[in-house]
Amino acid sequence: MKRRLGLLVGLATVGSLMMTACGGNGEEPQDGGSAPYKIMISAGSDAGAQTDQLTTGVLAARAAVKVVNDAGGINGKPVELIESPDNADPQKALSNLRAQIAKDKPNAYVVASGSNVSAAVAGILRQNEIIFLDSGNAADTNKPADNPYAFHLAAPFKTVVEGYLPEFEKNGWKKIGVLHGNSAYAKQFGALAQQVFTEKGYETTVVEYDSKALDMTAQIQAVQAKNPDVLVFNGYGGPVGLVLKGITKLGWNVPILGDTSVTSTPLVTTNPPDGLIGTPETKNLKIEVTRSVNAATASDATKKAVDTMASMGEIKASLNNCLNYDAVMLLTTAANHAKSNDTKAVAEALLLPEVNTKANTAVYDTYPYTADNHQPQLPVDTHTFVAPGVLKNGQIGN
Amino acid sequence: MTLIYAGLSIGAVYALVAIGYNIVFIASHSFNFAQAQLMMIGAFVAYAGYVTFKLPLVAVLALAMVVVAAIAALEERIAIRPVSDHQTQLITTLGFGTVLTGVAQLIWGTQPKEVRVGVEPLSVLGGRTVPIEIALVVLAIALVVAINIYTRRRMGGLALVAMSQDEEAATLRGVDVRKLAFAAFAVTGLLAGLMGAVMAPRTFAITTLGTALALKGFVALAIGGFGSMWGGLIGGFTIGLVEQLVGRYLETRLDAHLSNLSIFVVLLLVLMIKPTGLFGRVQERTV
Repeated sequence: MKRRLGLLVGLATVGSLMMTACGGNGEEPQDGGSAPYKIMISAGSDAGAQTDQLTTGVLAARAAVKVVNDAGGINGKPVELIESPDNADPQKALSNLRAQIAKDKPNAYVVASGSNVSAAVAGILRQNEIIFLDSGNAADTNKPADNPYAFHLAAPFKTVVEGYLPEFEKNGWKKIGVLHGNSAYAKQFGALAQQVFTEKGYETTVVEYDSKALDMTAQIQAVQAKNPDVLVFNGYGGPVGLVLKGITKLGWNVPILGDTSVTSTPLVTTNPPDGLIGTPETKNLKIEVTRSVNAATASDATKKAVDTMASMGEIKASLNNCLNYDAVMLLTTAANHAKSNDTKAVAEALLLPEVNTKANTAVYDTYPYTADNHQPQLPVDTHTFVAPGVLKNGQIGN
Repeated sequence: MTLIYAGLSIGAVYALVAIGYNIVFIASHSFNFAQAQLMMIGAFVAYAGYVTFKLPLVAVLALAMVVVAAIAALEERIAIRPVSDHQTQLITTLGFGTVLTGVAQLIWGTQPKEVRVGVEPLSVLGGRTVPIEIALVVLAIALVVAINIYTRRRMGGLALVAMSQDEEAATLRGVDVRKLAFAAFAVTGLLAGLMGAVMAPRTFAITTLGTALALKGFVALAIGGFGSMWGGLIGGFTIGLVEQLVGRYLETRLDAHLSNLSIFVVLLLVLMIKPTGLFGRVQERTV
């Protein structure tokens, strides 16, 4: 009796192993079963001054999920967006992520506002082998040696800063003034601007202001004293208005180039009485935009993304804040190409030009990652400068 | 001169916060940590009146004063009166300020709102300024003068001073302490509404205004001396001028916080030399 039972168990085991081995074929995903592809997002509805950026980033992810699911999902399974209502608070985001991993581990993670959440969650995402497409561009999420599953989405600082060089050359400007805030982003911007502009032979003066101050006259005068040909200016929210008002008050007639965070400030993309378009404050101002933010140069993929987002809610911030749309599209293309939801396979697929150049992304056309650098190596003409215009549906000139 | 004008005008804003702190301090020996948030609400009401409802300037100022006075009266009822000791009032007023910031965010959002009045640049004595900066300095000085005259020559003002010196003695002399404290709060709100409305074209109406002003208003008061209106004014101007001069001549790219730091250095120096602040008085009682 015992021998027969042992034989039966043995046959059943061999049979089940054979069925498992023969079950997959080349066209089916190797894992994931019937479960949806789960993307977790640091979301919410109130992040203080960054609320518009946060809600726009979440809307972008929702729109992309809709587009992907309408087209059949990832490897034939729907995509599920798990929203963490942390309001971009790093501690809450981390706590919610831990809880989600314990309950049902997500396949991928994205953030919707700033780099603080990115820095907080990067370690635990790495430990749990969860792919991380980071629109916050945290310092340790672009180095494959440290974190092989993390990728930056936003343009590298170098690309943003080098975007000024053609403008300098075109206008024959030699002396550059840089005025920037004191947030972590702004400090990096200032440091890199000084390095890049000086290396290229421009006489550069860099002055930092306190983003919480209510008057920047002293700092503006410090730059003005060096008599630059052009003022490169970084800021977001109230400080943008205070600096522009300060320059107007001083009667300083200098061309001003605002960086992408200036572009994200509604004050410069709104008509009076709420905004400053057409006022003396914006007379000399040009703002840095990606080609997708400029409606005149936007691609068909961008138009599709904008239409989808607009049909699902109000796009309150610029399209620069919609990198999560691209994140979902990149994940979809990579996982479908790899025919797998496996983190390692998706990460490897993201390095392939046939994936990162053909993902129908909206903000940037391509995300050229390399094996040793997970920052998208974008071309120098990724950004252009335009006069301030009304921002509608995340775009200027819409 | 431009820096002097800028320093005096932003100093006037700090002084206006300090004046608000002072009125409540004189009346009840506690601090209204929601004072800066009341001014922030005043700025937003000015925005609503001027931009949304397109009211004339005088009506905008009146509206801001009435609305903020009503909010301050409400604050006295729910955050001051039910609380017996002054230490707890620090927390309840701080909480009330946080609620005001949240409500403002819900109504007006988180982005700065432009109130475009008196911002056309002009040259005065070789320096550049705008009319609203001059108006702020004039308002701050006028308020201090008016409050000083009131507290020295009017019965209500004398009662307020009596109350600040000895609440029990004032009560025995027939002063309705509770009513006067409430009135002081409402008047503080009235003035905060006016100050916020005048300040808005200079600073924008923005929800972070409260946080930006609260600390520096308090430092202005500490430099000038608690309870002294002239002290609050001089303290405000001192901070504004130090900020601008340090920002222009000492600050480097690496430390935008130097101007903030310099304010606290000045505060420390003042407190080391005169612990009660420049115009503060030590109250002595024979026991």
